[in-house]
Amino acid sequence: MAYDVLIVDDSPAMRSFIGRVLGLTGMEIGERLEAGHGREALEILGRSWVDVILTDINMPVMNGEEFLEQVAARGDLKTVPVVVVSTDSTGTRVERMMSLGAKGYVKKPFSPESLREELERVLEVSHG
Amino acid sequence: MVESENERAQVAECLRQSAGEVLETMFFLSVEREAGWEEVAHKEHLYAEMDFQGAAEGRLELAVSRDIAPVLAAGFLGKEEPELTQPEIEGVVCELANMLCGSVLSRLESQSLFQLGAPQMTQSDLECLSRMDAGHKCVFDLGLGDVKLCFWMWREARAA
Repeated sequence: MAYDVLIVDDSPAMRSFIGRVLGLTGMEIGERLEAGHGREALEILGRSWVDVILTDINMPVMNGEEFLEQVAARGDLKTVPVVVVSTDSTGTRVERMMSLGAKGYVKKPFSPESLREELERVLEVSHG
Repeated sequence: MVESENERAQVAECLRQSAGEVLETMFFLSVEREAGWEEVAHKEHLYAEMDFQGAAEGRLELAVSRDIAPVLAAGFLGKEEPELTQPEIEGVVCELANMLCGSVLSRLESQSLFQLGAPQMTQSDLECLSRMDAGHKCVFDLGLGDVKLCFWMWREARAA
């Protein structure tokens, strides 16, 4: 199964890096959509279905916390897992993002293996 | 604030660990050695800076020598160096600053909340140099070039 992914990060360089690393994970990636902040991501989600969302926290216009709250409030998105990908990985921040509805957390810097492990966990990919 | 020797050593070690981890994991480059500030003073650098607030306030300033900036960007973006544009190189330098700052704060204050500002390119390291005595600074020799870091953090809450 190919997974459609939405990458939300205000850094074009980081979006490009995550996209490239996704290709290195060995997972089958379908459509790869990108947004520069939470509001743009919500607009994309209004017209496109994705299997998983990867989001940063510190972004202009709508940050990762607000974005998670908006996703949680939308019934049609409740089944879409959100994985936070951030440099901000203090224990307090991780707890806060998970309490807002994030299903996974990947700390930057990260390896393709760690991203794959977290994606497989939240997507419940089995290797059986 | 006046830091003890132990605190200064702790911050210095966090800078080393963070630089090593970020450069190796995300840029596939190893720190060959720590260099002296004066050793790289003659080189041209690209500068980025970012502030943070929350449990503590502070700033990280980063300088990447122009000889290695395209190498970093090429490795990060998966492109050949001749294909790179200046905005792409600067974007990667800013992202490096962002990751270094987050990594250092996570090590120093693992149970605190911070708001990280957006990293920005700057024209020179004058700010860095003028405050050199108050902060932490280090230079990492990557063989093909160098990365300079200046980091300040004020742990105490400021009076209202």
